[in-house]
Amino acid sequence: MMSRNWFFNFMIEDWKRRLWAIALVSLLFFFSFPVAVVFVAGTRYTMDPNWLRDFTAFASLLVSKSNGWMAFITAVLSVVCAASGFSWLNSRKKVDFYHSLPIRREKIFIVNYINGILIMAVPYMVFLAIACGIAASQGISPAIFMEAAEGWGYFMVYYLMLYSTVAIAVIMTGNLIVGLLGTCFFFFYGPLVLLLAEGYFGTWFYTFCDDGMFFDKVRYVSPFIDFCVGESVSAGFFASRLAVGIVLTAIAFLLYRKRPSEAAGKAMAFTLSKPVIRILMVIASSLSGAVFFWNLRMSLGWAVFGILTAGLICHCVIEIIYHFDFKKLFSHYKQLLICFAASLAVLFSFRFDLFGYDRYLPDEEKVESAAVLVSGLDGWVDYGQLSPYKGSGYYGDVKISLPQYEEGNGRPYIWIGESRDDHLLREMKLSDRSLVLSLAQKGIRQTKEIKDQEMSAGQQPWDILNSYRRNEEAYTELTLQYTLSSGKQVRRKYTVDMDEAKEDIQNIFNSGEYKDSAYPLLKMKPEEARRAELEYMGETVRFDQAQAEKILAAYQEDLKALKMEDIQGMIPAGSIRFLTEAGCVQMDWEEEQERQYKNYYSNSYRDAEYYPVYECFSSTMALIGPEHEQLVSQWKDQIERIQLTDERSFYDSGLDVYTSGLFTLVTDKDEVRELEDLIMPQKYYNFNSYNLHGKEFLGGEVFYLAEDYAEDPQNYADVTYDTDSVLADVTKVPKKYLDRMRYDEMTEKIEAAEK
Amino acid sequence: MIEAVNLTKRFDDICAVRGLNAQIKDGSVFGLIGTNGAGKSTFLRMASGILKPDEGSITIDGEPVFENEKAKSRFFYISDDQFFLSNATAKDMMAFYKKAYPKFDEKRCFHLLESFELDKRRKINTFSKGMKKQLSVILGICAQTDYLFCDETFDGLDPVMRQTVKSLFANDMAERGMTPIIASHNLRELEDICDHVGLLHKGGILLSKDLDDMKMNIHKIQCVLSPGMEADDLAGLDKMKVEKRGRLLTITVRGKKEEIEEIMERSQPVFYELIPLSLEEIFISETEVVGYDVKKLVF
Repeated sequence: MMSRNWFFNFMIEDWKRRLWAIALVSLLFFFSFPVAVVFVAGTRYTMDPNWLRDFTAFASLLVSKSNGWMAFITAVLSVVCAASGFSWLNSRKKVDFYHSLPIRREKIFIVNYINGILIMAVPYMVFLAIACGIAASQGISPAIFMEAAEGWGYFMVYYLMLYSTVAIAVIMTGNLIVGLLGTCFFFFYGPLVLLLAEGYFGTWFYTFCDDGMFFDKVRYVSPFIDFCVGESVSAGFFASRLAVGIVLTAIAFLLYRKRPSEAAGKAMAFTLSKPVIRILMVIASSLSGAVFFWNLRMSLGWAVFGILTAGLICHCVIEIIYHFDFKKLFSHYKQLLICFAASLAVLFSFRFDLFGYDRYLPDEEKVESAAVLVSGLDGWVDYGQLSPYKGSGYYGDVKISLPQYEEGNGRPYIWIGESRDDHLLREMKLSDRSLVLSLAQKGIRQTKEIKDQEMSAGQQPWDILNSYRRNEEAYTELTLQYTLSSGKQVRRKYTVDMDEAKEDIQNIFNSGEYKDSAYPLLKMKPEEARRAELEYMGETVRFDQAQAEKILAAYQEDLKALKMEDIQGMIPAGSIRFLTEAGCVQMDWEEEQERQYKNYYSNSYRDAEYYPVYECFSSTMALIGPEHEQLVSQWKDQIERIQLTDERSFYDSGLDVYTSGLFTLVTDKDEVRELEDLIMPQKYYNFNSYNLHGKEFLGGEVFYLAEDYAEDPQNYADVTYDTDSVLADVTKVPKKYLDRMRYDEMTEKIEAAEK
Repeated sequence: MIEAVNLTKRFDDICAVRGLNAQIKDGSVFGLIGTNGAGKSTFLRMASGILKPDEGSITIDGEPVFENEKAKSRFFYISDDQFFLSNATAKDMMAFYKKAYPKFDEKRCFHLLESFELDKRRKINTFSKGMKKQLSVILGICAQTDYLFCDETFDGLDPVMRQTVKSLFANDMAERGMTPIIASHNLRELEDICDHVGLLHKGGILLSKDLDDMKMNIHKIQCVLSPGMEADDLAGLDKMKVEKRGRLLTITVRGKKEEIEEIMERSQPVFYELIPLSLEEIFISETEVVGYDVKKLVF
C-alpha cells in the first residue's frame, strides 16, 4: 500500500503533471487583476476630481460578480481544467499505468478533482487579494475586500457546477473530442428541448400564451445557461448552487467508479448511455427538422420530411462518432425507427391537437379566480414603483455599494417599471367565473373556426391567424389566466370578435375587481397624496396637499363608478397624477437637474403615473374645472394654424402605387377658432384607444409660434412654428373642410379599390 | 500464489478471456505464450487490477486483486507500451514509484541505472524503445514487489540485455522469492527464462506445464538403424513423431531418458543420439497431440 500521506504526495505529483495549467491560470489572473488595477490606478495623476469615484467604480466592477471577463474565464477554465484533469482516462497507456498502482481509484479521482478546483480557486484568490490590496492602498475603502469575496464565491460556485458537468462528460466518454461534444450536450440539450417545446406550442397551439414560461425554466436544465443568466447573491443562491455542485460531483464520482478501464479510446465509456443519448438526440433533431420545414412551407408533408431527414442525418452522425466507422451507419436501425415513430407521434399530436390544448376549458367549480388581459385596453397604465437610488457606476449602471461612492450623486429615487402583463396576471382575481368562461368559449369557438378554415381551404394558418389579429377593427386578443383550486395556473390566448365579446369585456371592465388590479391609483390613500398635477398639452397646474387629497378621493370615486359604455368614442380631456412624498422629492430633483444642468436621466419619473381625466368625471371636474379650463384656453390661444389630414390610403393596383389622402391647412383665424372646439390632442388617444376602435378620425397638427421665434422674431427670416398632433372626429368636421381634402372622393376610390 | 478461476473477460462481442483457470506458483518464472489476440495482455491486466473480470476471479494468495490496495501492492505491472509521466526523467519516475511502493530500493535503482548506462537525469521521452524497456524492468525490480508482470517486455531486447535481465530476475528470485510472469508471443525469447509455461489460445489455456517436466519426458532421437530395421521395429518406444531422410531417422518420443537409451541399446542401431529439444519443438509435439497446429498458434 502507499504511504500514509498518499494524498498530498499524489496531489503534488498531479500538480507537477499539470504545471502548464497552473501557469496558464496564474498568468490569466495576474493580468486580469493586479496588473489591471495598477494600470488604471496610474491615471490618478490626471488630476480629475472624480478620479477616486471612477476608480472605485472600476475596481468594484473588476472584483465583483459583474465582471464579464471573469465570467468568460470561469466558463473556459472549467472546461479546460476538467478536460485536462480527466483526459488521461482516454489513453489506454495512462489508464493501465494509474490503475495498476496500489491506489484505490476513488483516491485518484479525489486528487484529480480537487486539484482541478484548486488550480482555479487559489490563483484567483491570491491575485484577487493582491488587486484589492493595491486598490485599498490607493484610497478605496477596505469594503472592496468583501465585494471581492462575494465575487470570488459567486464565480467559484458556478465553476464547481460547470467543472463537475464537464468532468461527467469526460468520464462518460473515451475520447477528448467526444468528451467536448458531451459537454455541449449537457450544456445545451436541455435548453434546446425547452426551445423546441416552446416552438411546438407556439407553432401549432393557437391559444398558446408565450409568457416566457419556458424561458423561466431554462436555467434549471443547464448549469451553463444558469451561469449565463446569473442571479443576485444571497445565502439561498450560494446554498442552492453549492448543492447542485455537490450533486454533480457525486454523480461524477459514481460514474468514475463504474467506468471500465477498457473504455479508454472508445467514443462512449458506458454501453447503456449510447442508446439513451442517441435516442434523445435523434428525437430532438427530428422534431427540429419538422418545425423547420413546417415554418418554410406550412405543410404537414414537409414537416414529416423534416423528421425523416433530420433524424436520419443525426442518427448517422452519432453512429459515426460512436464507432468511428462509416460502415456502421445503420447498425441500430430499429432504434432509428422507434425515434421516427415517437417524433411522428409528437408532431401529429401537436398538429391535430390530439390532447385538446386549444379546446381547454376548466370546470367552473375548479376555477378559484381568473385574470383577463384585453389587448389595447388600459395599456397606458404605468406599473412600478419609486425605489431609493443607490448610485451608478463609471461603467454603465453597475451598482456600487461602497460608502464614498454613494455621496455626491444626489439622485433620490429611480422609477422601476413593471410590465402590464406581469402586474395584471399577478393582481387580477376575477371571481365571476361564468363571465370569464363565457369569453373563453367564444375564444375557443373562434380558434376552431380559424383551424377549420386552414384545414379546409389549405390556407396557411399563420396568415389566417395574423389576418384576424391585424384586423384590429373587428378582432381583439385576450389573455386568460385561470387560477385553479389546486393552485395551478393555466393561461390561454384567444382572438375574439370584438362585437361578440363586447358585452363580456364591458362587464369585466366595469367590475371592481378589474379596476382594483388595473389601476394602482385606487389603492392610494388620500392622505398619501402630497401633490396633484393636472396636465394639458405639456402645461401643468399643481395642487397642494390639501387639494390633492380631495381631488384624489373624487377621482377614485369617478374611476370606480366609470363604465366602459360612458367613454365609448371619447378622448380624455387631460391627464392627472398624484404624487407621494417620494414622488415630490424625485420630481423636484429632476426638474432642478433639467433646469440647472440640462441633465436628463433614464428611468425618469417625469411622465409616469398619469391617469386620464374624462369630461364625465363629474366629481373630479368639479374640483379642477377652472384650472382645466384655463389650461385648455391657454393652449387654444397659442394655436396659429391647424392642418387636417386624411390619413387613409389605398393600393391602386392599376397604377401599382399607394395613394394617400390629402390635407388642408387652415390659417384663417375664424376658421381656426371654429376648428379649435372640434380638435382633440392625439396624446390622449392612447388613454382610451380600445373604445375608439371603429371611430373615424382625421389626423392633423396644430401650429404655435416657436418659443425662440416668439421671443425674438428679428433673428429669423421666416416664421417658425412648433407643432402638436391632434385628431378630429370626421362626423363633426364641417363639410367645407372635408371638401377641401376631397374626403368623399377618397372614400369612393377606397371603396372601388376594395372591390 | 496467483490463482485464476473461471476467469472471463469480454469486450463488446469479443470474448478475450474465456473460463481461464490457472495457478501461478511463487518462486518460478511463468511464461504466458500466445499469438496476438490470444488474451495474454487481458489476463495480465486483470491480474494487475486494471480490468474487472466479467466472470470468475483472480486472486493473490486468496485476496481478490481488483480495487484491493493490499493485493496490488504485491506486484508491479510493466505494460507492453509503458507510460512515463510527461517530461519525466528516470529520477522523477523513481521518486514517483517510491511514493507508491514504500519498499522501493532507490539505491539499487541508481546502481542499476548506472550499470545499464541510462542517464537518470535525461528525459525519458528521448530514450529509445529498448532503453525504455530497460528502465521499466529496472523500476519494476527495484519496487521490491513479490510479483512482476511483464507484458511483452522482452520483445525488442537484444540477446545480451535479455541475459542480463534474466540474471537480475534470477538474483531477485533467489534473494527474496520474486515471481516474474512474462507474456510473449515469441517462444524462443522465453526459452532461457521460463520455468513454467502456459499456452493461451482464444482466451483459454491450452497447455500449462513445467518446462523441465516437459523436457524430461520428451526426447528426440537421431539414429540410423541396422539394415532391414524400421522405426516401427523399435518396440517399447512411445513415438510422437517420426521423420525419415534416407536412412536417417528423427524420432520424437515420450518417456524417461534412461528407458529410451536402454531400448535403443537393445535394438543395436548403427548410430543413435539423443538431441535436446527446443521449447518450440516441445510445444509443437505437445499440441499436435491434442490436435492443434501450434505453428499457426504461436509462430
